Amino acid sequence: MSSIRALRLTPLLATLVALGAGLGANAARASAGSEALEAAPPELEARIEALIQRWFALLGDSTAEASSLSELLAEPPFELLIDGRVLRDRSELLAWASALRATYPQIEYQLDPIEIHAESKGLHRAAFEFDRRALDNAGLSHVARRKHTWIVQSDPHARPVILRIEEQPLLFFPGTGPQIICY
Amino acid sequence: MRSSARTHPAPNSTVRFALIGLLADRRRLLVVVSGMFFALVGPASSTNPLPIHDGVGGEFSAPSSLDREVSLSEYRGKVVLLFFGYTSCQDVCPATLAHLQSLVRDLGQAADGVQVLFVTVDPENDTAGHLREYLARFDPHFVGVTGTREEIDRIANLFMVKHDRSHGVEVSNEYNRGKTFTEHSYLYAHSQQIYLLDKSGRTRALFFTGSPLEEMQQAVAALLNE
Repeated sequence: MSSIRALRLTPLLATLVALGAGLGANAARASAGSEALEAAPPELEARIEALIQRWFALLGDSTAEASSLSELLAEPPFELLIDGRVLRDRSELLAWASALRATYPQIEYQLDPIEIHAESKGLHRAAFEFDRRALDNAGLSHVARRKHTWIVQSDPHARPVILRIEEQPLLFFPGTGPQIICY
Repeated sequence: MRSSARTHPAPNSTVRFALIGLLADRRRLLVVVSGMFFALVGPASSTNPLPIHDGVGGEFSAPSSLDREVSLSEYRGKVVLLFFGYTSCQDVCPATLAHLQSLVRDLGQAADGVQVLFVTVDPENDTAGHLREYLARFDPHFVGVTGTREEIDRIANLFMVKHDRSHGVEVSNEYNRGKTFTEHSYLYAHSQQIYLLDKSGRTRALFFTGSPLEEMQQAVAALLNE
């Protein structure tokens, strides 16, 4: 507003000018192309959350191509510490996903709320817990609870991709509340 | 008592699961979750088999109140109730063991197929003889597991049990009467869940001191019948 005052504009005119400047900026951003999504944190967070949901949807969809998972990953070297293994390339990822499907023909995930924070420029950290329920080939029910910490490459002009996943096994307490510590 | 801050879904409820799709417009992505419903298996469902808790537990071998090493695998064919605690505990540990004592007693003849294992988190104090004397107050068939700190930590890690010794806390209870303050000026913070293991040693349910005995008995009976 100080620059507007310097031009000795009336308050009403100054307001109109300011509005016009804002609209112009938006128009300029829009004209930059529909592919260039805004890097505003809420929107970026939504895209990262969508990435996470997509990962688990693919894992839970027995009809999905396992190779679709690799499209969600950064170019190697990435690092996935899951199920007690370390996966560093796409062949290892596909082998793990295939083994998971062979073990559990039916599998589903229920995610808790996801916390997303900026890690550094171009990187975000996402942390969340989830329950995994599965049926094995013998029809036996399996449950597990895990905590995941993801590092995501979050270039605002490209879709986010997974750089690292670290898994921590937790106890599964259906309906009994949290782990209780006594003295 | 204290607890971590995590909530859980109610047992035997249904949960929406399948991700139907991602709808995106210019400004935002909308994740739509709906569709396939999947019935959860509760900890003591009488109609569904108890689920297997993946990644919880595993084989171990350690000195015991039987004056020899015991391993979990030697109880294959039995249903095992596993609990971590320490004999100097003043409240939850004896209450839990009394709870297990009631559970086993009420099982009657079926108790022959059940084994209670008590793993101490205080191996420096809870020797094999000490455990034997302590556990006999509840049930002489209960077996205590002790060992080196490393052995106990390994077993605790297998079952994701948290334990932490707190120094400088004045402790006085009947069991420790006659011992000097310096010997027992500590407490252990530790997880208090009871692990129900099936005849193959797999974790099938978690209970607590306050879990209804009837619910626990149903779960034990279900595993005995598998």
